[in-house]
Amino acid sequence: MDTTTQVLSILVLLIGLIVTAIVPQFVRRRRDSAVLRRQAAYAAIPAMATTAVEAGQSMIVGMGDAGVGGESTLLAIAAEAVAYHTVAAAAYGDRMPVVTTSSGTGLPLAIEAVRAAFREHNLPAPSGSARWIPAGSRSLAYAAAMTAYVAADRSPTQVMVGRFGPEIALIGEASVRRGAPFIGATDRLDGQAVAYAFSKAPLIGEELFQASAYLSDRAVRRGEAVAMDILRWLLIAAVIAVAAARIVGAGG
Amino acid sequence: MRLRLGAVLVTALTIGIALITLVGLLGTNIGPISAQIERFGITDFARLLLQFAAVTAAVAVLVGVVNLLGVHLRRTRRRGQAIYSAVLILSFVIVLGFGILPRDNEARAAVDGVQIALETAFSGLVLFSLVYGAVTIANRRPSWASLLFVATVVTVLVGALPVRGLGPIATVADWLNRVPVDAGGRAILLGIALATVIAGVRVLIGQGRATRE
Repeated sequence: MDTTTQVLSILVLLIGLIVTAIVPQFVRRRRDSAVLRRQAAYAAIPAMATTAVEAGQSMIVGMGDAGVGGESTLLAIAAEAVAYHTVAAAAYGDRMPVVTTSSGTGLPLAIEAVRAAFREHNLPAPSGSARWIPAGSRSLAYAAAMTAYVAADRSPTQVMVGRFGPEIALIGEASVRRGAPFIGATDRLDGQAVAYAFSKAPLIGEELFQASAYLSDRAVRRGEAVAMDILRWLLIAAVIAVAAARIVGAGG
Repeated sequence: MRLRLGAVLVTALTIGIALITLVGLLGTNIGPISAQIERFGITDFARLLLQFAAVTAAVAVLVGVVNLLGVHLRRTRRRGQAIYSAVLILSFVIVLGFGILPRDNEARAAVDGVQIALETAFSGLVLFSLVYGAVTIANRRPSWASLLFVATVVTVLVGALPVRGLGPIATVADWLNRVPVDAGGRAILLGIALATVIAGVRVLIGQGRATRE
């Protein structure tokens, strides 16, 4: 890593640290100050969970190949948050919700998501709710296994949030063909384009990381979403400033 | 406010290790600060922590494999599912044997003959799924965004056809790929990078759910 990149990385981290530390505390003290923009996918997930519970269908969350220990660690943590809130919303159903992953190091997160969600409702966590499908990274075999869930499990509601490539099309198509609700989001551009086409409500880019802000009632979490919005505007300003400086430099 | 000792310890440990690793990774080549970081052995300690993480991940996978085999061994006693579990265990033993006693790179042959063949077949299905998705999106979500999505997909696909007389469409498809698609892709990636920074900072300051609760 060269010195300029290092200095810029430290600067970005420092700004992120300051904004993330201050803004949520401000929002926590003045609860009404943070109004989040509507997020269709996060509005749909609790409704999908309720419908699944009432219809006696199961809710399946997939984390794909996101796991701990590599560059997808933070994505895996974000996917775990989605899994936790989704399982918590469907914990009262007759059919147990299932969290799947194709990453071996993602399995502890899947198990923790299920345990924490059931603990929140003072319910014992069912065994076998967190499942590892060891099919390799960005695997078509994992996607194929998930389509088998759709066939075997009477059209379950599926929330696929984590690391997926275009193979997410197999899962989305299986859900949509059977009329089962599906929401997909990934950090890969090719997978994201496909997930958008099949999703009941779109979940794109950084929105994937904001599950706790939208699905929990904690003001601190909402504050983090506001912090992200502030950082986004700072980033936009920086991009415009750099572009303007280059144009002026080229003109001069 | 009631504090649990275990939670406090986990949070303190997480913050401490995260800070040391961050300083060790970012604190090289930046003048006099780097010399101090090197002097206190933080860089080496950060590398050691990363090695620990890699080993822990490998052990986690091993534990997962053993657990999976245990589950499938139990399933072999059930009616209906026994055949699948038996095939899985048999495949595991055969491929493991190829790995332990290699004679003619049979493990590679197993991957080429089974895994790649199956994945290639699934790749063909992905194409059909994508076309189906493009068709259904306009029906399910009739909006300007959906129509634009479908129109873009059709234009890019038609533009990629090696047929004479489609020059203008190919030009439009090329422009779509170079300008709006590239810009949109960069915007999404920047957003994900920003969110990753926030998520990392949240873990760093002990605000992650796993450490906080």
